[in-house]
Amino acid sequence: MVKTIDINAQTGIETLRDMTAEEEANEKASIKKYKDKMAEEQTKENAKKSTEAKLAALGLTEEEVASILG
Amino acid sequence: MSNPTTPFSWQMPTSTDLVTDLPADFEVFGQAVATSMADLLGGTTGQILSKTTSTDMDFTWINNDQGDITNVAVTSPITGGGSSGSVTIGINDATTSVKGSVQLSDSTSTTSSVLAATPTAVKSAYDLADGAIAKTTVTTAGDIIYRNATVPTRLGIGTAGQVLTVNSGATAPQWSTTSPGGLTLLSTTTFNNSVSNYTVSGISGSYKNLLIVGSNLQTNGGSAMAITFQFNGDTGNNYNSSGIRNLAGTVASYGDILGDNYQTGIVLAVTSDSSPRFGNFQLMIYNYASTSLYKAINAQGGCQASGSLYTNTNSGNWQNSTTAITSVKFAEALGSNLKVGTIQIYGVN
Repeated sequence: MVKTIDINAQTGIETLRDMTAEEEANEKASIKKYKDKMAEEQTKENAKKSTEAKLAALGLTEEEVASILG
Repeated sequence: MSNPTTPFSWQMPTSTDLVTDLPADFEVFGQAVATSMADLLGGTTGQILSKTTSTDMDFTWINNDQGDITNVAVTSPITGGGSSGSVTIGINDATTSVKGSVQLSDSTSTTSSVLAATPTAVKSAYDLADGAIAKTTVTTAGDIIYRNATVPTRLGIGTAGQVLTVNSGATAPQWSTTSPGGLTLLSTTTFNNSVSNYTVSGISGSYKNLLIVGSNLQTNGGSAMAITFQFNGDTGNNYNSSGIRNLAGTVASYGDILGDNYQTGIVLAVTSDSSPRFGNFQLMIYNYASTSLYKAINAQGGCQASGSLYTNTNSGNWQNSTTAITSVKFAEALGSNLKVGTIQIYGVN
């Protein structure tokens, strides 16, 4: 079970408890989304670097590559 | 030659009387004695003679109760008494239940219940009371007392939200309605490496904005990750944010459209980083207590993690509903434990 801590701002009391099944499912889904997003961004970054390398191989300068890729 | 008389005016025979005259003389003498002694006849045992008039030998027998004490009868607290011999009387000491004699005392601090206060003690108490602030100075719940130029004075309770200030003449306190700014700390959460997420509930809606400050943050994960937020337990795709960030030298803009949490994009230092490296951020939620507006959010933060610099600035909103935010969940984006650091939530006016 995934643990979570509830804090009552009125009393300051902290309670450590197990997440409910629904909370745990939401937590895992949210983590998966974040991982997928990071992977997507990494894929984009890798593609950008690959494109930069290929354009450079064609003889374009860094300024010319930057003007194309932004 | 007339017969001689005694001091009682009894006529006596003369020394030259003839014998034949003596019986008559003695009769006259005896009658005079009897007449003058008439008041001594009678009387009863214990009676005494009392002068009836100023005339010589004018007496009356009377009871022996004139002028002297014949009996001393006592009741509590007097003790003793009697009707004969040497009479002794005394008096019992007084208590709170029995009357009697009391000892005087000048003390104004004794707790005795058998001593009686002297005028000296009474005056001391009076002087203190006379110098005290009269109870009647205050009349209403919440009243406070201050001294004006001369005497203690009542200041009635102010209205809700007012604060105590000094008047323009700097002569007296007064209640003032102000619009105070500044921060009010509502909650402090200190990470202890036991969980990856916390939920702070019961957030007061008494402020204009909500400021969340994270400082000295590290996760227990193997790579630098971000903190995400959800409000009021909303796990739906109702959050968006966009911004620009520097990820270890790569600067890029990004946009998250309707994700299931608010992506701060703020990177935290990780366990493997040396101790001086921590993530820090601030996140402002505007009109968080509004029931008519979506909640706009700004966030900034950064850290040096794994030897590289990470910074982030973004804006967005939570547009699930116009419900006031009363709880905030913050979590490490990849589920790693929040190792160290503090998140503080402030109300902002």
